[in-house]
Amino acid sequence: MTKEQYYLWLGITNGISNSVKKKLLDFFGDAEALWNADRNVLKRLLNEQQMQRLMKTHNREDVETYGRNLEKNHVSLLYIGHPYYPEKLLSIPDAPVTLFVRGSHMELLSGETKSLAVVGARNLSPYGKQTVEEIIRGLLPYDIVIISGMAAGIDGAAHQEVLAGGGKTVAVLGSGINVPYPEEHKLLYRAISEQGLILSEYGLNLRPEAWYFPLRNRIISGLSDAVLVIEAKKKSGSLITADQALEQGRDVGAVPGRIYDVNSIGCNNLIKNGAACITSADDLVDLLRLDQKIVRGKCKKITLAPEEKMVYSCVRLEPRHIDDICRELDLRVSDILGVLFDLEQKGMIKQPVRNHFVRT
Amino acid sequence: MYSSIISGGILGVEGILIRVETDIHDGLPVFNMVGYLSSCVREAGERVRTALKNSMYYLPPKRITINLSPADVRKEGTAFDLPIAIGILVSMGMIPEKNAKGILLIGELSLDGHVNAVRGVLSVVHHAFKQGIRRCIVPKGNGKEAALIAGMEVFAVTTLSETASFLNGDLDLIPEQVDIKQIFLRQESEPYEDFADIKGQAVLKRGMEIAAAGMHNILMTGAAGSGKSMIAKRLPGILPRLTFEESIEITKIYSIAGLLPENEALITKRPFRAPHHTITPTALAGGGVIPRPGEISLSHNAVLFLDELPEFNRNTLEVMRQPMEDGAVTISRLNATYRFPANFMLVAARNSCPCGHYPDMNKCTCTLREIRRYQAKISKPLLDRIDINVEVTPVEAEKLFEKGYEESSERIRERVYHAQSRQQLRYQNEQIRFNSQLDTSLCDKYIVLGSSEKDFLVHMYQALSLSARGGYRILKLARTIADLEDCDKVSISHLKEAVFYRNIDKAGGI
Repeated sequence: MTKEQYYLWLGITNGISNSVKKKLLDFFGDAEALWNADRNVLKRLLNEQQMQRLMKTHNREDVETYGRNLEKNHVSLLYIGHPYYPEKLLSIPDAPVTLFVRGSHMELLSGETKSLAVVGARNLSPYGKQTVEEIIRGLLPYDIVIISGMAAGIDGAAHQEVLAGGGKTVAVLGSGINVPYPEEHKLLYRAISEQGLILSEYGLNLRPEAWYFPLRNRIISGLSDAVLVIEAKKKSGSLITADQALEQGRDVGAVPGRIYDVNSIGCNNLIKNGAACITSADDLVDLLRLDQKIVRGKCKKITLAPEEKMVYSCVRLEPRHIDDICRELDLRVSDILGVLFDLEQKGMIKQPVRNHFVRT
Repeated sequence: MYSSIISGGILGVEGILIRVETDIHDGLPVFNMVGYLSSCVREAGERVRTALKNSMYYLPPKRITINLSPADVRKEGTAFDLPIAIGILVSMGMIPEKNAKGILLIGELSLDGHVNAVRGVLSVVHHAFKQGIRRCIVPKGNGKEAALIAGMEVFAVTTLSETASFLNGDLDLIPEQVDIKQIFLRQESEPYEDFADIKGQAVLKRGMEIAAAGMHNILMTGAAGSGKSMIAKRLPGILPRLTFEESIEITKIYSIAGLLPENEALITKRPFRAPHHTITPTALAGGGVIPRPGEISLSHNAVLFLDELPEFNRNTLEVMRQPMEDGAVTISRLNATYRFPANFMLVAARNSCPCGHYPDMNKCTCTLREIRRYQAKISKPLLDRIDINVEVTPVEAEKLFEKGYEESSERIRERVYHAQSRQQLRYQNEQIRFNSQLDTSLCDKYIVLGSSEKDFLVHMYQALSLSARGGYRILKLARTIADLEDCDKVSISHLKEAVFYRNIDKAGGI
C-alpha cells in the first residue's frame, strides 16, 4: 500500500472527528504506522465506538476500490505532509487531516496569491447581490483568489461573479466532494471544478449534514487571508466563519447595511465589534495589501441628456420602484420610461427586480 | 294526419333547424318518439301529453308517431316540447296546417300548460333568420332575447292554449320589440368603482389602461394587500365600449349557458369573470358530455380575472394556452366538434413568493428555493402569452392617506374609447377588433415600422433573446400605446414602453 492509501483510509473513516484523527497521527507519527498499530494500543486511545468505526474501513481492498472511484471522479486526496497541502491550513487549530480536491488548478492552494473568503446570507437581498457583484468586480484586476462555500445566496453569487470575470475561485463544500449542494448549483459546481478548485473534507457521495457546515467554515476562513461578510442575519452561519477567522488570526471585514435591514444586522454587529468596515473593493485592496496586476483603463466618459440627468438623479443606490421615481419627478410613467430605458442601455442603471431601478 | 313544424336546437354556439314531424293514424294507441333523442327530449312525450290534457285537449286513442329530423343529429334540451304539442294539435286538426307553416317554435312545457324559458334561443333564432324564416314563437322569458334579430317577428307566449288560440287566429299578439339604443344608453349611465380611489400605483394604472385599450393580457405580481384585486375590480369601468356585434356574440354564449338574466335582451356590459382557483380544466375551457361553454368562453370579448394565479392547478392553466392564441376553443366529441369563441383578455394576479413579501427581504421569510419554485408554477409558455407584466409594491402609509390628485376612471375611459375607435377604423375590413387579436400577417400589414424602429426592435430581439411570439407581442403592444397617444406611426418611444411592460424574463427575482 502507498502512503496515499494509508491516508485515504483515514479520510474515508467517518464518525471520528478530525481532532481525534490528528491525535492518532501525532501519537503514531504517520498513517502507515497507525494502520499497522497494535489493537491493544489503539484501544487505550479510542473508545469502543471509535475503534469500531476505524476498523470498519481497515480493509485493504476497500481502500483500493475507493481510490479507483476517486480517480474515476477526478478527485484527488491531500493530507498533512502532501506537497500540495495548503500551507495556510497548517497554522489553524484543528487543521483537516485529509482533504478531497477536485480540479487541476493546485496553484490556487500554494498560498502565493492572497485570498479572500466571501460569505453571507443564503437569502440575499437585491442590495446584497449588488454588493457582491460590485466588490468582486473591483477585485478582479488584482491577483487574488476568492474562496467561498458554494451555498445559495451570497456564496453562489460570489463564485458566479468571479467565474464571469475570469478570476480564480475555490469552493469548500459542506457535502461530499462530488455532491453539489444546493442542487441548483450543479452547473456552478462544474464551472468551478474546471476554472478553479473544489475542496471538501467529506468523501464521495456523502449527503450534507447540518453539522458539516460549521466545520467546513473553519476551512474557508483558514484558507484565506481575510474574511468578508456580506449580509448576515443576527444569527448566521457566516458569523461562525467570522469567529473562526478571528481565532485563526485572519482579518475580518463586513459590509454595512441599513440598521432596519434584518439581513444586515449581523454585519453591523461585526463592525461594532471591530471588524473592518468595507464599503468598496478599494477597502479590501488596502486590507489585504494587494498589488495591482492590471492597470485599469480610464473611465469612459458618458454624457447624459438633461432629462436623463434628471431621472438619473432620482435613481438611488438601493432599488427604487418606478412609481416613487415618477412621484418625485411629478411626471407620467410613459414620459420617463424611455429615459429609464436609455439609461439602462447605457449601463448607468439596471432593474434587479422587475420595475425597480438602481444605479450600477 | 301528417304535420310538420319548424323548431331548432344548438350545436356548440351555433343554431340548427330541426323539423318536428307528427303523424296520427289508426291502430293500437301508442305514443312513439324517434330521431336520435337524448333522454330529456324523450321525456318530452310525458310532459306534452299531460300539458295537452291540462289545457283541455284530449289525445285521440290512436297511433301517434313523432320524428325529429334530421335524424342523425343528437337532440338535446327541452325546447321541443312546444313544437311537439303544436304538431299534435295540427295533426288532430285543431289548428289549420297553413297557420303553423313557416313559424319557428321553441319552448318547454310545464304539466299545467305553461311555457317555460329555454337556453340558447338567440342562436337558434339567429340561425333561423339566416335560413329565411321571419316569424317565431318563443317563451315569454326569451322574448326580448329573440327580438334582437332585426326583421324577425317574435311572438312571446306564456301558455300552450294561448299559443293554440294565436295560431287559430282567435287571439292577437303584439310582436316583441327591443330598443337596442336604449339598452346601450342605460348601460353607460351605470356607476362603476372609480380609479381615483387608488393612491399611487402609477405604473400599474398605466399598464391597465394600455391593457384595456388593446385588450392585452396583463399579469400583476406583488405583495398581499398592495391593491391588485382593487385595481382589477375597477377595470370594467375603463374597458372599451361594447359594440352591437360583440354584444350579440356574448349574448349567444350566455344564452346557451343559461346565464342570461330573464327578460334581459342583451349583455351590454363586458362581463368580468373571476373564477375561484379551485376551478377544473373542464369548467375553465368548456366541455362535458354535451359541451357547454367554460369560463374562457364566458369571458369572450371580455375579462377573465384569475386571482392568485399560482394556486390554480397547473393543468387548468395550461388548457388556456391554445385558446389564447386562437381566440376559440375546440372541443371534440365522437359525433360532433364544437367550437366556442374564447377571445378573452386575461388579467391575472399573483404574489411574488409564498409569504407574499418578496422582494422586501426584511419581511420575506421564504428561502430562495421556495421563491423560485413558487414563480416556476406559471409555465414559460403561458408567461410568453402575457403582454404586460407589472410589479406592484405596497403604497407607504403616509402616501396612502395624503391628499393628492388621482385620475378618475372617466378620463382614462375617454382615452381608451378613443384608442378603440382608432382600432375599429383600422380593422373595419378585418375579422378582428383589437390590436391584441392581430395575427402575424395582419401585423405585417398594419404595423409598418420605420427603419430606425426596425433596427431598434431587432436589437431588442437579440438583447432580450425574445421568442418570435414575444417579438410580435411587443409590436402589438406598441401599436396600442401609439393608439392611446393618437399616433399613426409606431415610434421608438412606443416600442420602449412596450418592452418595459413586456419584461417577463426579468422575473421578480434573483
